[in-house]
Amino acid sequence: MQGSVGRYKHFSAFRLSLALFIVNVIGAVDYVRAVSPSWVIPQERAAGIHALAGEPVVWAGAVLPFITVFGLLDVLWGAYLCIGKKWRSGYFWLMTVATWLIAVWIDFAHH
Amino acid sequence: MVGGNARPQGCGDTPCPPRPPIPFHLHTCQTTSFLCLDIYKIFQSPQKPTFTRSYLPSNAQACSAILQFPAPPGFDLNKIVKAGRAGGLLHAGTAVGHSGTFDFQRVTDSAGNTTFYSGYTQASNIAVGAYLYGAGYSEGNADRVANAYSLATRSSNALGRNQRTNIDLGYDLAKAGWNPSCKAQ
Repeated sequence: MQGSVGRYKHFSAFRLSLALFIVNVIGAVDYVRAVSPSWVIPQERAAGIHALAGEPVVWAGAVLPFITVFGLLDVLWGAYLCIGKKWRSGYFWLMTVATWLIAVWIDFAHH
Repeated sequence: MVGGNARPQGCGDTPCPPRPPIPFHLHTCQTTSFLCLDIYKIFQSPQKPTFTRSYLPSNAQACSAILQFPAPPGFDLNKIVKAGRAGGLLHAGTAVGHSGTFDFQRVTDSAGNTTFYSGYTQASNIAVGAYLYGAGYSEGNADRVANAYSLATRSSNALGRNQRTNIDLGYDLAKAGWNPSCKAQ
């Protein structure tokens, strides 16, 4: 009986982590889409133009909701995994961190 | 029934109604055959938008408010402040983003062709400062946005001293309720 409850709990944590990972992947893709209007226009870069005006404001406006929502979500998720010692589900959390690093790298590479 | 004199189906003895308007990208076909019109043209891509660099358009105005700078006709800080108040940071893209309402340095037509007016960069940065003031950001927070961008991107395109000066000027002018005086060049 105890084994089946334990298995259920593990399965539940696994499913929750998988769901949160998928939500984060969608969020990371949406982040890249949201920040893309602040990227350097390729024709301007080719013409040697380095003129900034509203880009920092547009970038900040796009980034802030993601930092707030996903930052909070992932910190709480990480805390839940650590407190519950659900190390196996922690792989999803680590993959989520990697996903966000890739998204941020794509963003920074275009400025 | 099948032959050279066959009429299109659905018209009977009356003249056929006019064809519906053809999407713009279908008009570029050089031949007149029906097949060309309906098959070839559908897969023909629209023309690539152009990018042109220029200093100023002929209708540029000379504006003065602490600094002298060129600005387009109708440059009005009060309007920008109002837009900032209404749109806030979340709608900054349509106002001060690329080819936005107050991004005077980039003018994009309906076909997507962009002209970059390098002489309007100063006016665009002043507009950013005024927009941030309208959006309710303190001068410190406006600086923090610029600092975060420069720190995060660390690119050759990071915010320069002149751009910061102009953003600060726009912020201060908007705060003081002072609209630059402009006249035709």
